[in-house]
Amino acid sequence: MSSTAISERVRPAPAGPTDAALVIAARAGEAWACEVLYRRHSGTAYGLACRMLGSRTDVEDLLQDCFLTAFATLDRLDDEGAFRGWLCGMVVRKTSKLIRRRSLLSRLGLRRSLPPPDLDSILSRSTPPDIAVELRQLYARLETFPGDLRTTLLLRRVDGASLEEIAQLTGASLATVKRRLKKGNTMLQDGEGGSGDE
Amino acid sequence: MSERPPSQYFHTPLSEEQRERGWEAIRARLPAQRRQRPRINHAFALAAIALLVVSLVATRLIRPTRGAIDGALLETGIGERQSLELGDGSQIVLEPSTRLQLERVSGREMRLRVEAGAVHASVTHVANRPFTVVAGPVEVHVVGTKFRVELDPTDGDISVAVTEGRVSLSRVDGRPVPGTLGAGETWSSEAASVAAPEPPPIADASAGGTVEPRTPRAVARGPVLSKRFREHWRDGRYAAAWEQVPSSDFEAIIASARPEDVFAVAESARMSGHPYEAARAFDVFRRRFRSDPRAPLAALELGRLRLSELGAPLEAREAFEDAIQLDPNGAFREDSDARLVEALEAAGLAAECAAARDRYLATHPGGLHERMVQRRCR
Repeated sequence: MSSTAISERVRPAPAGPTDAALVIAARAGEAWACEVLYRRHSGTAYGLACRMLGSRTDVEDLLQDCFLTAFATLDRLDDEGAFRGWLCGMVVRKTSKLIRRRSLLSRLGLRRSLPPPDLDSILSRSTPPDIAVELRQLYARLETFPGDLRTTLLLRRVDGASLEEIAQLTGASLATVKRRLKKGNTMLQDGEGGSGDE
Repeated sequence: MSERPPSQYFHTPLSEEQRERGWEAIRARLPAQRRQRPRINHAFALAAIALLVVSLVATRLIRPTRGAIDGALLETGIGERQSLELGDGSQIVLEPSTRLQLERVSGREMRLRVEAGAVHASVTHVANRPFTVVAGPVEVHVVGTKFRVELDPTDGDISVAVTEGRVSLSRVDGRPVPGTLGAGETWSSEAASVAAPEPPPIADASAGGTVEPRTPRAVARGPVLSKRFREHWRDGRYAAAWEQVPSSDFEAIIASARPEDVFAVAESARMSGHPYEAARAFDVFRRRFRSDPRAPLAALELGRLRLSELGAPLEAREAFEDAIQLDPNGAFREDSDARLVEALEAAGLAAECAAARDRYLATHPGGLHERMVQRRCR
């Protein structure tokens, strides 16, 4: 399992101003700095959201929401250079919230059904068949899991995130992450499902 | 499952079209301007401040010393209007896209500064308590009245309109003002730049051997550039000149210095390899000094920096279009038109790029950038 942080896993450092400089400029109201941050990190955030949701549905709206929230709350970012990780955390928490909301609406009869995972639209054609099968089974099983368990398991099993990284991305304590992983793995092994919400 | 994370098998590229669509949606909803200062931007916070002031005034806890909310910045967004009721019953209404700084809020003095936009004030008279609203160099001293103060940050235009009562006006720069305004009277100042009166430009100063601004000390606002900066700048030693600009004073210098100095700071930053600071200074220049003949050049340089150094093609587009708007028939028109084509191509806007390319080729046959432009948007 890779221990490289999701937020640092993509591409070498880009040319141009550092993220820290861009964050400082964006805080000062420079729209160009927001644009550069968006261009630099939207691909990573988009991919992460797709993997968390298992499809491309609603991801564009969610991405805009994440960036708007990020730009509106830049003052809360202590380490300006950690923008990417901070943004990824926002993506993870917002996708988790979206899944919970969808599940709730579905249970209340306000939404016909949850959009099924559409892995074919997001999996590369070069994916080995056995891996594709495993991933389809995993996403299908996780559909019935509580949102937080689903997010934790996806970060661990799909993104290969470390426990510390999952804790950082989900805003949960290390102990909570361990507990969720243990419970989720047990449920997967036992073939259990859940209410879809925790 | 494989040892390597399965995330590697996901293929989720964000298309250029999706990226542009997303950015346009985000940009439209970005706040007008944000600042690195204590800022309060919500009705809840406004209400909280009002409550705090009410409480402090009511219990006579306010002292003439610096208060807890002194320096707080109130902002309204596009289409947003907020009202603030002070403890003495005075009411302040912020019009949309307004920034108002509460410089001093106490039982002995109220001093508000309009940084941009307009405020309506209905002030309750309190004996021996000066109530001042500042806009650029103009101070509006209130006795007990209703009035409106507006400051356009792009050109420094200030207007004051009195609805009831009477206000007295003064300027920190010594320029003439009517003195007092009564109900129904208005006063406006076109291009009442904060930096006025203008000291001699750098070239004149160096020629005469006097390089420090001759602005009286009482009028000087904010930090000024050092003699050494001007010497290095005059001799073309841009990196050395740039080293003379303290980073802590950079924002204050470009916000208050005269046009020659802001342009010199921008150019020295650009020439010494500081694209962010250069872009910032050029941006401030074109906004503060729109009637200056260098404003189109500042916009053009800003666009080039955004495009080539900062990687923000849509913001570069905005700057190039501004350069064209500032001087549609000027010397920088061809450059701006050509760079606009580059920006649109870099932004992935194929149709707009092709239209801009064709426009350039039709407008500037045999132009300097013709070959470069012909290759674009394919």
